[in-house]
Amino acid sequence: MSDDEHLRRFLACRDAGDEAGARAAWEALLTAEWPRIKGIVDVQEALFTRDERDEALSIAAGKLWKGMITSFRGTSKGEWVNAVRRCVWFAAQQVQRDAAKRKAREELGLGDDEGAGWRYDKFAREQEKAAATDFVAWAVPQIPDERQRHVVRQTLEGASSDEIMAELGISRDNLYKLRQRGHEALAKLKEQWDA
Amino acid sequence: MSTIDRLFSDFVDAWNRGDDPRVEACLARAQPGERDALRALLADWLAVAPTPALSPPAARAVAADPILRAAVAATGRDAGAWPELLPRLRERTGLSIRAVAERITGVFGLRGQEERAAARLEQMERGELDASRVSRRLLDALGTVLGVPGDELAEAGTLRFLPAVAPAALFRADGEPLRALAEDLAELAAAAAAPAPPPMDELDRLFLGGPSA
Repeated sequence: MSDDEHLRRFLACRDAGDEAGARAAWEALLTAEWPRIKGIVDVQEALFTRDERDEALSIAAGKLWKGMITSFRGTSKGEWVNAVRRCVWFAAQQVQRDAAKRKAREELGLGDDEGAGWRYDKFAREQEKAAATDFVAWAVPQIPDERQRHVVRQTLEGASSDEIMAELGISRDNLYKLRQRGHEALAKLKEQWDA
Repeated sequence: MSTIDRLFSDFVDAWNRGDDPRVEACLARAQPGERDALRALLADWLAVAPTPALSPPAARAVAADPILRAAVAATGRDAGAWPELLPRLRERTGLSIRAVAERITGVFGLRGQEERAAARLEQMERGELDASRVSRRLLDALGTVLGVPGDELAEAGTLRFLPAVAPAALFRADGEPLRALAEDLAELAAAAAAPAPPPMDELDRLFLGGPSA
């Protein structure tokens, strides 16, 4: 049976409210498409360990089933593959996020009480803010063009466009060009920073 | 032909032969600097590839994949994926059921009820508790102990098939009311007159009182 036929059979049973038929068709569809689903999980760059990969696969299968029985309205293989990719992507993000939270909580020695989640979120926000501050301090001085560097620095410090134009004696068009190029240079530096 | 072209072609050939080739093995054979390019090629292929007609050994291996089997089984249970998920998460933390029960009772101020809590947690792990009866407060606390958000535990527990509900027909009876309706009303009246069950204590409310308990 082709993939389209598996999908059609599942949808027909689902829409008829036939639970046994839908589950049997789902098993056939999932089994037939398992190599593709595994493959799409395995091409995700974000997953590092075997446990994370298996966890993402389980979560993706659950999300896929839930989406298929509640909201999937497609009828073609392309739509099915898109649904698979979306579920896998969400599952991979979820697994990564949970792993990062566990690590942070271990490092912080947070307990199990109901405030632990809030304390972690506050810690994460502070970490993100600190990381952004570190990056700006490192990157802005490295923007090669002096005027672009000045515009970016002033912008990050909260200066308005009018203030920067007046200070440098330049037109609005010129300011926008300098700002855009300065931020392009910043984006390239961010790639280096992340690496 | 470049290395990644050859690796990609080998993968496609193996896919079309029904060998169920492994993406990770294919990526491992590429030079580190070429992996992202190969990853992109494989991702594009998987989006359009025909469903493979698997060779008999590959088909047997896929059909026996424990993650696939668990995913299928989860759709037919009131506990969804909990019987696979909860023991796995607990093992990752290195905690016994008793230790998890101690933490849960500690969170809710139910010291002294660790044994009952452990028995309920065992039921959850065996899939013997209906996920729709477990309170969100408990799932949030359990999630904190197990290192995942309570939302994710709730989502994993609710995988039952929900048939599309047709809108109810609205009508007004012109003649005698339906006998079935009269019987339903009689049953409701009998149920209303029956003595109420004993009230649940806090621990039972957490495990059996429903999502908002």
